[in-house]
Amino acid sequence: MRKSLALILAAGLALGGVAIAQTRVPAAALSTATALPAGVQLKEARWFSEQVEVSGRLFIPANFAASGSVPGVVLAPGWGQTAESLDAYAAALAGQGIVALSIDYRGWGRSGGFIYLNERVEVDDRQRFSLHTPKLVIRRGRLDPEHQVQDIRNAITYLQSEAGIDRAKIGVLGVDMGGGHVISVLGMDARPKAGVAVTPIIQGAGVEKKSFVPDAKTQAEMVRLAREGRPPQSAAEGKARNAAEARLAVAEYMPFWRTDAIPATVAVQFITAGADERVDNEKNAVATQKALKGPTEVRAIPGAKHALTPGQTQEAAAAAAGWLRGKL
Amino acid sequence: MSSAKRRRAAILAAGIALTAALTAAAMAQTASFEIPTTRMDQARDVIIAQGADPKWKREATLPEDWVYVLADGVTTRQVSFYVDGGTRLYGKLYLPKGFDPKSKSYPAVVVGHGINAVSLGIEKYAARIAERGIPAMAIDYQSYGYSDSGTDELLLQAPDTSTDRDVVTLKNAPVKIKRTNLNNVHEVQAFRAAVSFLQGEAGIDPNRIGTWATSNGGSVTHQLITVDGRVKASVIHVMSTPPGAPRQVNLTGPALTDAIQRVKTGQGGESDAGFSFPTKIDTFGNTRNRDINGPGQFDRVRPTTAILWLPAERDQLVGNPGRGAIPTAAYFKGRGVPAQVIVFPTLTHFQPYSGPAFEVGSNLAADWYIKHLGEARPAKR
Repeated sequence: MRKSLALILAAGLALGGVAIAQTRVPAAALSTATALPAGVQLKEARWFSEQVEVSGRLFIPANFAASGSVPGVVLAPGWGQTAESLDAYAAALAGQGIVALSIDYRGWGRSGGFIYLNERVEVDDRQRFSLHTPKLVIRRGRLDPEHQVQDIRNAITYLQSEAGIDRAKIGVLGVDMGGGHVISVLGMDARPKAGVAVTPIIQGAGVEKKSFVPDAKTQAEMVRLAREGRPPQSAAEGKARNAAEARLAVAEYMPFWRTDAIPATVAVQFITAGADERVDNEKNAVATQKALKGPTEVRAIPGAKHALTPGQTQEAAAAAAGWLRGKL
Repeated sequence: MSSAKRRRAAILAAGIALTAALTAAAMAQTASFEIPTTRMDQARDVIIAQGADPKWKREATLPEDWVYVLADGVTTRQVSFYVDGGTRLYGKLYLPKGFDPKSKSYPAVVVGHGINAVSLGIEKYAARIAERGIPAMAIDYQSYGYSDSGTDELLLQAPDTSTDRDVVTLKNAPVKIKRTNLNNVHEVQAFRAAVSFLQGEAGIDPNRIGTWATSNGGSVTHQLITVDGRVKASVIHVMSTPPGAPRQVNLTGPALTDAIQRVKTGQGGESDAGFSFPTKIDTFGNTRNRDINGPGQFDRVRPTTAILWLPAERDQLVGNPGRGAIPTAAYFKGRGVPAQVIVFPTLTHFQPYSGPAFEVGSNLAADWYIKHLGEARPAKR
């Protein structure tokens, strides 16, 4: 009796979840400054990453049909960026017959924020789900690499759920810190078969692969957040916490350490800015290429700074689309 | 005394002295980082009898197994600490008799429970560690016991209208709260935040923090020690895993179908879990837990982390029961990491939590912390 009730409850909750997605801004056509290849459509997609409703920009190729089977690529923005920043890459991919989904991380763009209880709520573990209307805090602007990696993986799952996309032909593209996330995802998740990392930040090469020992300042910050880190109650507090938590998270984020798990069947392209003033490409893209077992390529855009110009972006987008079309 | 007798006496004395020196040397070679196994050795027959006694047969821990008497002078304090940007977790601090934070500096130990359980079931380990002079804190993981549900267990029932202009939004809103969300990534974070909490606690030496965990908590510990070098000593109770290799997780078949339901609706399917506190968990918890692969990165553990395994010889839930910890300990010893295994003879998974086995196991754990974290010391001026 209890088991069937639990099933009914779960089904009802699942249906309730679908209804929630529909009460938000409906999936509609979005606008873009980027010139779209002929026949390519741009729509908003909405799904859940963990329990947060998130948004992405879905670029649908001209040849797309629900009865077909084309590759799909998730695009991951850079640090503090939103999905729009990747329109040129997504458009180029769609122009090559690939469904491109660039995402807004949780807490950014059109995606929902992180939810926290802001008061004590009495709950009983024997009642797995319960409805309340408590004081909440919703936080935006958080920058947590591991959460962003989960957002990318959940987006892969979303792509794999869509009719017309070949589940076996999934790729990931990321810019800046998103480039590091490409390596993280490829190391953690066997589903994507190819990746492109653009002006990537891939920490970990040359860092001793040992458990984290914080310096005094970092440890003091860890202690403070554990003892006093209730949800921030004001914008000023929220901004300070976003910065502090991001610093701690980045200090431990070593995508390079995940290269061991990437098999020889995975192909990765690195597109670097030849005059990158923020990233030492030798220690990031080049070092990572050396550590990978499968097909790789490093393309440097001569003279380019970390933030590519529109012309350089077009060049990078075309190269990325060529790579992914060839490998997926 | 005649000269012959004096000679015999001298030879005898020299012989005794030599034997004592050799014995001490032999013991020193094994005892450099190991603790004596005398407690287990001397209780062997009693523990084997416990294992065979129908009264102590266990498929789970029972409420009577959670009961303990707080030792004379041990005091407790319930505390809150935070993870992942604001999720509140619960801890119960056990402080030794005569705890004197003003003039003394103590090590401390975080005590964590197993799969789908709660802190109530293992408080007695924290109580025992404090009884032996070391502060200990029993914790509940996120969405369990007295800890809150966090951002992965709170499903808004109304649209989130916040935009990037709103760094912080305070409001009342309908939310579906989920409990018992098994997630070893969260559990690692809980241990780490508990370590941070203790590092800032008056009277605690931030450089002498350890952990105790059981069963699935042991799997969590295998990961924890590879990522957090602040942990100086760990006891892993009734869990063992041989060293592994880095690997990806592949999401296919029913696991992918469940993941798809999760991303489409916010909630996937549920599975039964737990023994002592049987409830449902998200089916996805089993998938997510495969992202934790401590044994695949054991080479990241530092020699400053000392590890004791206390496996149950006939553990019906853990692969290579008892023996699984032995190659792991050998792996670590070969890399200069202090590692020791002391097996509960003939016991099954849940038997070590109670009776004579609990007395031996909890005291061996305390022995390990005293050896590797030290005891109360005068506070530095």
